[in-house]
Amino acid sequence: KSALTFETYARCSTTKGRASILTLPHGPVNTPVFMPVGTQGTLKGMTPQQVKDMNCQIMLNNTYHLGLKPGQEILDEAGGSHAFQKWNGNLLTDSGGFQMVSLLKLAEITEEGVQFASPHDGSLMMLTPEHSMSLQNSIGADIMMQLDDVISSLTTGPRVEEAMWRSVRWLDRCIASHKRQDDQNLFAIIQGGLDPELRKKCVDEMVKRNTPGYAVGGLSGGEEKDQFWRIVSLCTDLLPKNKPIYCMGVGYAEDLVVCTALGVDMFDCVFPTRTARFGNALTMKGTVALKSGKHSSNFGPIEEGCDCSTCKNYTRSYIQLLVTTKDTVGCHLVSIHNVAFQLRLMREMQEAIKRDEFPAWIKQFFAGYFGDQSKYPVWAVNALQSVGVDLTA
Amino acid sequence: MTSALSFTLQQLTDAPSASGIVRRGTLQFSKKAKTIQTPACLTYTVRGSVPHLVAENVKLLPVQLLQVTLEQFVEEKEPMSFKYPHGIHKYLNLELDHLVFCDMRDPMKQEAVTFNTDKYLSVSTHGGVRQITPEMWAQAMKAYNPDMCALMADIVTDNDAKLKRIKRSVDRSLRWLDDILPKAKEIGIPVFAPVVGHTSEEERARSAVSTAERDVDGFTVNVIGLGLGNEATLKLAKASLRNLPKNKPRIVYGFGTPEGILDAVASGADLFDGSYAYKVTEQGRAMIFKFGEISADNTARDKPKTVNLWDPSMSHSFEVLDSTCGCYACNASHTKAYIHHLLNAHEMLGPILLMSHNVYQLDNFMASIRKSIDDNRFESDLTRFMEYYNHVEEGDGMRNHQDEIDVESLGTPLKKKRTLLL
Ligand SMILES: [Zn+2]
Ligand SMILES: [Zn+2]
Repeated sequence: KSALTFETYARCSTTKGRASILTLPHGPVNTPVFMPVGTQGTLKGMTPQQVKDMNCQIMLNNTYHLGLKPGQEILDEAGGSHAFQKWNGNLLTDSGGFQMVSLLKLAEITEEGVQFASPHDGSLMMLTPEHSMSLQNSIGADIMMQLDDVISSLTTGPRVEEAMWRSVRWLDRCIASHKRQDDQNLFAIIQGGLDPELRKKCVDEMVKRNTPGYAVGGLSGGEEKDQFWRIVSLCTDLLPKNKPIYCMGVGYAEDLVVCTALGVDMFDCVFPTRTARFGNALTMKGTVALKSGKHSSNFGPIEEGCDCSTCKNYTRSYIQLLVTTKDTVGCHLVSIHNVAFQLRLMREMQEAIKRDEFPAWIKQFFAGYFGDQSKYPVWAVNALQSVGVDLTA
Repeated sequence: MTSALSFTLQQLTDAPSASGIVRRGTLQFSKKAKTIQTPACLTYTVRGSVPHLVAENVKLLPVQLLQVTLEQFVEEKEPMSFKYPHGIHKYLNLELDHLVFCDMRDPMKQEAVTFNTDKYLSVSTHGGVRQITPEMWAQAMKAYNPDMCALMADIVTDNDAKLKRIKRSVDRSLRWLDDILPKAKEIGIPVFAPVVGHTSEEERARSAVSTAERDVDGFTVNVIGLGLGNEATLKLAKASLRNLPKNKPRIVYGFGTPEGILDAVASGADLFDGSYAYKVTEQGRAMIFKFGEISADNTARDKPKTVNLWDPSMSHSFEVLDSTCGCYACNASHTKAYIHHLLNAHEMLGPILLMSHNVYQLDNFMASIRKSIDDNRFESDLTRFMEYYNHVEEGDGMRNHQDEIDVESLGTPLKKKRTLLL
């Protein structure tokens, strides 16, 4: 059962890039899309109105964090996360399992679920697929993720296959316990590590379950980038063409460009807002460290031509002052720009695909972002080569 | 040539109020065709920004006149804001119709600094103590071009200062005034002259009388952190205020509570620093008190003036802070429960929503004071306010706070209860 529609209106005639409209219970989302992460029911230092004003159509909340604070009871009382944070756009939640494994000591996976030590008193507890669904149903996000058996992308051997099959079984349990099929979409997560055969089997099994969308999981964990893109590309080849594909935890500009060319529709990452806290601004010419004293005499905006409210109104000189003195306003100003940058990057790709000028746009992006060709990451050159874009030409 | 700033009092000493010195005025900025009704608060800023708020947040608030503090801009040896060619309004991205008042020192917390000499004034910054000379001051004002500014003064920051030091500070401030005034006139910015005198009523009177002999547009009276009780502090402020000419506006520093503001209004002050809104926000509190709207037959006593959003009881409160409030937080229906969650989760949106609300409420408080004066009921409203509300000093709501976490909702305890030591 599906509470979304996905309509591809333009395909790049060279790469696998596509531009689509994903319509969710809280409105349409233009894809390829970057989803900023509002971990605890708020996007760092921005009001929901400001987020809406930058044309952000979907953001993330983290199930683990919302489960801890404010907790399921209050989410139920509030009528879910949209109502609680007064956000009328779309929301996506993860299953909570990944955060548990990465944040808690002693998290361990059994057939029943993720066993973890309570951050309150250390007593042993269990997050099951059923429990994750119940919590995500309370949060009420437009897209929920299945609980999967998370392993490091560097893991090898039989554990990889075990995790893949367990994720399939857990998907069945998630589907069976999902109580709001009419207004919440459950996405499956493709596992299988770096092994193409396992990935194929996993896609086969999960496609049989016919979920409204699919995520490519188990990547961005320190594997070689050359392995990363090959798995992504394999999955987009195998997955059904009429459903959205989400690549989890991807947010660097060059990764977004390459994965879009490989046919991915959705991305999320904490990087843009996290790096903003350290005074780093993202631009089409690379990252700008605003703490550096050299900006204090620069009365121009962070990025010329950026239409975010920070760039329209504030100088680098003033932001440099606020960033070095650690005023919260300085942090907010850079976060606003960085989120706006990610959204603009995605919008530019949508438009380039629509005009069928995506390969030329990619070349222009790499030239602007890295400058000299010798600085282009080799994996990105290889990945783009595989879809017919030769950056070295 | 008409002055860039004019001040008209609507009520003078013949007002029927008992004290006879409550003032209700209008400040007129002829260059921008803007008026400020007094009594009013200047909006408090840190390094030129309303704390926690970016321009888009400020735009939604009834902010008209901001106080910009020079000492917060001189961290760098060569402050770039002094070199910006388009003035301080644009540097800080204030809407064109925002007015800026520029003074030297932070009106919220006056940090003690080493010493001042005839040649310079010491201020404290992140980067340590810096010296400001009259030339630097003039350079800054020329670059900033604020709508009004205060001159430099030798303000004593040592609570136990001897009379000799206080007298010297009065004399030195007058000397600086004579030195800088021509420079200020040349730049064409309306100037407020600081009236000093520290803890001596006599010296306060002498400073007020002598300063008033100069051609200035208004006065600042400072009673921050003298280490005295409320009554003694008020007495010192009055010693300055009663010796100032009635036809010029007075900014008073050091009355950072609603009660203090009301006392100072009753003593003839016109403008205040708005740091109360920030202080309350930092304590995780939201202002909920009203002035002049409490009906006389209401016999309630000891009502709280603020609500503590850190309080665990807020977690189930799905109402807005104040249903009559027009701030962004209340307009967008953000609930107490959500703001409590944001504080509990240490999220930056919490202080943004609280600051929006408190800046709005402080402005509303000042508007009710003006209305009350207009309606000739200030004295009785003040009595009622003092009876109705609690006046104990409210502490930081975060004190003793422990993060509330709902571990149960993450999963179920394992049947075999095994506890691990982490
Ligand atoms: Zn920008
Ligand atoms: Zn409000």
